[in-house]
Amino acid sequence: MAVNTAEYQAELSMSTWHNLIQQMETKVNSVMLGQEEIVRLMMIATLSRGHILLEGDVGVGKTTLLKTVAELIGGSFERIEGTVDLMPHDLIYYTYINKEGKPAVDAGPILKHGNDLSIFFFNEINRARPQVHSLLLRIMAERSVTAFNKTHHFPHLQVFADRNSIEKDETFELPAAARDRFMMELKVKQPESQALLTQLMFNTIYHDADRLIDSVSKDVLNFKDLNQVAATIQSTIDASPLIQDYAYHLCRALRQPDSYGITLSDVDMKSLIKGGMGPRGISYLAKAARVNAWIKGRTAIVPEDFHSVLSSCAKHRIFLNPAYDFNRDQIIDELIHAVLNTIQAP
Amino acid sequence: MRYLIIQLFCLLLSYCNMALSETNTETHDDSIISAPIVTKSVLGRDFGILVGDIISHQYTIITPKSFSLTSSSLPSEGKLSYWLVLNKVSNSVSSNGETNRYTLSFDYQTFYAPLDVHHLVIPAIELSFSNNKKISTLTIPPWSFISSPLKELTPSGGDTSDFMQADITPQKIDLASKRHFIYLLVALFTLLFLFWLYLAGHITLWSISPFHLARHQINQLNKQSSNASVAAIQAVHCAFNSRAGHIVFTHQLDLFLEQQAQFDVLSIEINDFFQFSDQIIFMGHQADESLYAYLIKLCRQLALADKVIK
Repeated sequence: MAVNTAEYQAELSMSTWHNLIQQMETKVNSVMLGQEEIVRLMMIATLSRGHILLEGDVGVGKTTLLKTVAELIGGSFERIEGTVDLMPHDLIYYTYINKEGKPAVDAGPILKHGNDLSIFFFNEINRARPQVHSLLLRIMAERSVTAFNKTHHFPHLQVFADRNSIEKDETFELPAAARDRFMMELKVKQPESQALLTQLMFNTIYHDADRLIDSVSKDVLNFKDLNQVAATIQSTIDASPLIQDYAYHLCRALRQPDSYGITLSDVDMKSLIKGGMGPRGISYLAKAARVNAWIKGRTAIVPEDFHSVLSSCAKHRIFLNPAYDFNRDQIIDELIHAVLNTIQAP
Repeated sequence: MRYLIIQLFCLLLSYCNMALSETNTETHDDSIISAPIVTKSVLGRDFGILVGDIISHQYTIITPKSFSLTSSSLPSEGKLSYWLVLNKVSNSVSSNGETNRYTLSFDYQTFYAPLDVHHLVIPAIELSFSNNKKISTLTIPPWSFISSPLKELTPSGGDTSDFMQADITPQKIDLASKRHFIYLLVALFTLLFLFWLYLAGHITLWSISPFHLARHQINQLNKQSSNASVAAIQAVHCAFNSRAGHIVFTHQLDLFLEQQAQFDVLSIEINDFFQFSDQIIFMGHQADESLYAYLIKLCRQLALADKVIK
């Protein structure tokens, strides 16, 4: 009887979380017009405890989106701007002259909030140097950092980063290893609908981003429960052997498209792929598919769940032969589309 | 009068030339020769030769008994120049007392097509004769002739308008006995071609709906095995994929129904089937005994709807 009560409580709790996630999604969508798909994927990444990299044109609302999600998740939030002179220690500590006129050292943005650090927002990440990327790699992969002779853990940390896709001067391309640490790389585009664009132009609510973010209620989620909720989702959503087989072939086809008879115009399929999703990438894909199934109210993964998250989880993990890099985005989009249309669900 | 004299002189000259060319010339007594000599040559006329004409030359050569013709010294058959071909070379020998008599024949053919009267020369031939002690050579001199052009001729006098007659109509071969066989072959090949078009899917009018095939498969599965629910559902999915030309997933049904408007009337049934399929295949639900009947009924409905649009 006690077990049944515990199960009931857990079910009730997950049901509450389901409602909370839907509320959060609605709130974010009220701030960010025409970004429903991106918002859904951010929810999925958050519930998978994955880090997110947003990319898009200047002024499409990347920072606003990330700040809004951070506010709704709650917990301590830190933000740093990527600049060419930013060094790794700037994330760990800073030095200053104290009231007594003596030099002092204090914890930097990473350490300041201790275990309560929930969101670390790295703005314009590609403006920071590779040394900074390197430190970030460790923080993202291990959720810990060693400083002042002690290892600091951040169990609730989720890294949000953004970069604009227009400017390339004085920027440092993220290495493959750093990109692989991000669960999803999301491309934010401006809405195409005339109605939405007109609203963004003339509705004064959208003119002041900070006030807009302040208008949404904060701390909708309890960030300290996110890890537990994520683990519960992963353990309760079923993946049948047939869907596992389907997912395996999806991943394999992305690495060896020629083995599945996939062809793209003017592309030599045998030499196209230089690298694809590794074990981290495919586990992220499965995690994201499970969360998608949970959000959709299913108890098991279906092919649609992989379709929803494949592009955002796989695209930045596929590395092409340099001969095709000039047209990378288009070729990878076509490849993913062809794979989804070729691999037959059981 | 003067023209008459000149014409007579020309005739006399040409007669002499022909006489020289075609008359046998026996110039030596066989018994007293010490080296090969030509005793007779038949060369034919050396004028009025047209493109494609055969020119036959025959030489009779007398040699001392001890001498014999070296066959390798005879010219080879074949092309001698761009306009002259040696078609045939023949050689025969007979003995007569102290001498050998060789008869050599050369058949030339000229392919020179002159635009006007043209002087041409057949090259000399050097023959070799040998006995045990020495070699003797004999040169057959070059032979010159006059080649004439081919010119269109029209008959003079009378009505010349229809001198070019049409070809005689060829006689038809009677194929009556083979006609039926040919008709049969044509019909057979036509049927085979149509069958190939049908198999390749080019004749949609006559093609069977994939849902008919799926229903047939499900019937077979039902008879063969009682535990083939997944295979039966897959057969219906394959039919959907075949009709759409790509894989149809649950979340793409709206697009499928948009592209295949004939199934609009069954949109609820199709949605239900895909949900049901997800539950059986991916969510571990168990199908009951009514599965086959349900799928067969669905396939029948889909096949009928598929037919409507045609």
